[in-house]
Amino acid sequence: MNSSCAPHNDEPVRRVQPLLGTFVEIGLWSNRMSRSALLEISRHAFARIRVVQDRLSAHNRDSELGFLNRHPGQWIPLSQDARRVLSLARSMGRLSQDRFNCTVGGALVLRGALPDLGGPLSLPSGTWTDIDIDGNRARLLRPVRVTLDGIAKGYAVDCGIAELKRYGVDGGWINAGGDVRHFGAQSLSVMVDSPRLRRGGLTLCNAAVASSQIRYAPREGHPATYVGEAKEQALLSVKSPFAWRADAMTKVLAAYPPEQRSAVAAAFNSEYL
Amino acid sequence: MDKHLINSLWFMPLTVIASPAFAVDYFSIEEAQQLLYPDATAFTAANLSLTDEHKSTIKSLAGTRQRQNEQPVWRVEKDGELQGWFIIDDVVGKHEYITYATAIDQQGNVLGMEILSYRETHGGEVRRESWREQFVGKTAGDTFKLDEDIQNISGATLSCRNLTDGVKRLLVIHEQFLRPAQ
Repeated sequence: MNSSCAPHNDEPVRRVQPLLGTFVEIGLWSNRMSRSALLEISRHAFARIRVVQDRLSAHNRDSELGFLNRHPGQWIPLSQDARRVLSLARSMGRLSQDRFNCTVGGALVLRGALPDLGGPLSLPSGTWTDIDIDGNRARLLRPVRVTLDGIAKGYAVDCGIAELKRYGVDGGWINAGGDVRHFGAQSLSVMVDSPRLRRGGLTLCNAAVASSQIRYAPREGHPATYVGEAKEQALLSVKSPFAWRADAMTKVLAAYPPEQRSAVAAAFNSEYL
Repeated sequence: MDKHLINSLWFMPLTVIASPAFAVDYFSIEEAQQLLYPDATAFTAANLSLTDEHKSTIKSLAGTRQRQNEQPVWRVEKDGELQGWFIIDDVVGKHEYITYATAIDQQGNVLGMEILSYRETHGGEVRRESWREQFVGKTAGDTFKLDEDIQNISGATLSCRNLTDGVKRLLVIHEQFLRPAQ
């Protein structure tokens, strides 16, 4: 993820839309494409992100995830996006001994952080082993509620980036309310409020960064609630090759003492900032 | 540490430093008009002047306050045929100021929206704190549809919800003052 980049000189084309419950900004550079062509390509990337949102939202009864959660024990056919994110979330649960745990939807519903979309009474939380994936379908082995909050926003950013690359854009970035991924030969400067970086700037080159703030006291009405054993109140920033992994790694690292985080991040091909 | 301690965790929006930080101009009005109505042949200014009584009606129907007395509106035509309306509006988040354009057709459907500029009204520590404070959950009562409903993967930010409320208010303005009498 550290292939060489040069600082950008060209003015990017930038566009922002309300998606994923936040503002998603796309910035694009191209020497060969007109501004109007880049804007048209950005429209496709926004559309792709919207598709991921509609499939994976735990707030939406009609999403594939909503359907899976209401039917524990049954095999549910899923789109490639849903299978992919579920599979990534399961792997992150396995590799982190459930420090990243996507089966805490029940606890979030109890807290009022997620809407109750019906279905049988669920366990507050489960483990990665409760998710069974086979071919193009998945089932929940126990009545847990899966929430992909900790990974799906990053995945949506990755999908948007793939769409931009597919159209042959030279470079750019997508920033979904703090989940940022960059691609191309012109580097991108981002501000990261990391205590370790002393609010320093970070130069991104074909990599992603995500930051999460952890507090002991939950805030009423807060959209993202972390269920787990955090070691301290802190702001965590992680750099990874992919936005989904940076997104997920902030939750994993929250469960480790600060002195262990760099080593844990490295084991996931990521960097604790 | 209590094993069952539940912590709140949220994303810190990272700021991309390119052009002035914390104030980004995305589109001019003319460019937004072209993006939202690519086939239009005429944009005619048709600003609305709203009385206190009008504003009171808007608030009761939309649920949010109409701040401006003068609402910038353009009538959009293609070869003499009315295509819809182009409306410029502002919403204020906790510490943000967002100017956006919305395209609404004759039937009151939102054809699209573009954010023209985004500014943070404070700097430094307040700005950073504002980001931390701005995240609120979407309530169960949110039934408004913008194009397709703004569904959330990780809840909605306050600014984002203000924007949704803003578009809802523009739809009320359209219904009350722009829609032709039936």
